[in-house]
Amino acid sequence: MSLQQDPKISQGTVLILLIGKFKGKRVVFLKKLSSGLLLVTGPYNVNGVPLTRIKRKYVIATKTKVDLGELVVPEEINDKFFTPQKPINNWEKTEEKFFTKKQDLKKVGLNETQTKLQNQIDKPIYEAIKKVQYLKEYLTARFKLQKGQLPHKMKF
Amino acid sequence: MSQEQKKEIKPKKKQIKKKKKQNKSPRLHVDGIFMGYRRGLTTQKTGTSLIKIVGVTTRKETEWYLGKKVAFVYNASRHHNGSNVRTIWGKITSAHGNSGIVRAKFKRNLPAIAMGKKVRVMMYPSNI
Repeated sequence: MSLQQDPKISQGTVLILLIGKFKGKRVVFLKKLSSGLLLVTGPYNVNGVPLTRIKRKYVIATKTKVDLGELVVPEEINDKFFTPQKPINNWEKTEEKFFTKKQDLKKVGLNETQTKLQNQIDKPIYEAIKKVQYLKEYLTARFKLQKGQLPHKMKF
Repeated sequence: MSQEQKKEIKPKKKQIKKKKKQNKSPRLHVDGIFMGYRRGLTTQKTGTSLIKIVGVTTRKETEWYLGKKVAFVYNASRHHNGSNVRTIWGKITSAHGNSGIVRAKFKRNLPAIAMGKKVRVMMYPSNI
């Protein structure tokens, strides 16, 4: 995987997500992971986007940048952090799983370490966002194409 | 019958107020129209579709859209995985002519019934 520097994306750049549950949301870029995916956060208390990773091709980089200074992202937040935890007893092949409907499957919530890291990262970012006028409102608002707007004529 | 009598007979229509959907999913695609297949006068090549993207009128403007994903979205009668909405995915391969029309190839060729129907041109894969 090439880890070439993208001239448009650097720490603090505001990105627009184009795909997934959070499509249209404007998020803050943190770092590029070793797998090549981009690590981003809402921050969570601003627009509800937690620490997530996305591919570069599903993102629009904007000129807007949050001044994060020299923010160091903890080493614990890497690709392993995002891989789902495997069930202890091979639940996938049990009878119980066979009879459980897709809708009834329990969703595994975030554990303590994940929420702790989320808050740890979000705090300095939120402080930096508050300093700039309208930046919080900008990150809260979702991007969408309105009537008459053509992306090939827009400047991001 | 007098006008007053006519009014009495007609039942009053209930005014049903439609609730606006909150937090509606944002539009992150450009609409296009499936014009037809790539063709000469008498034969058509159904493997390549021609798409007219709204607002794109010159060959130079189509550069931005090359490589972008396209989706033809349609409804079916049978529900599958909780939804009856189905899509055929494809991507824009090249420009077609000088007036902003674009060629696209889909995973499964578009059905002829889709001619004149809307197609969604996505903004990804993005290199902005």
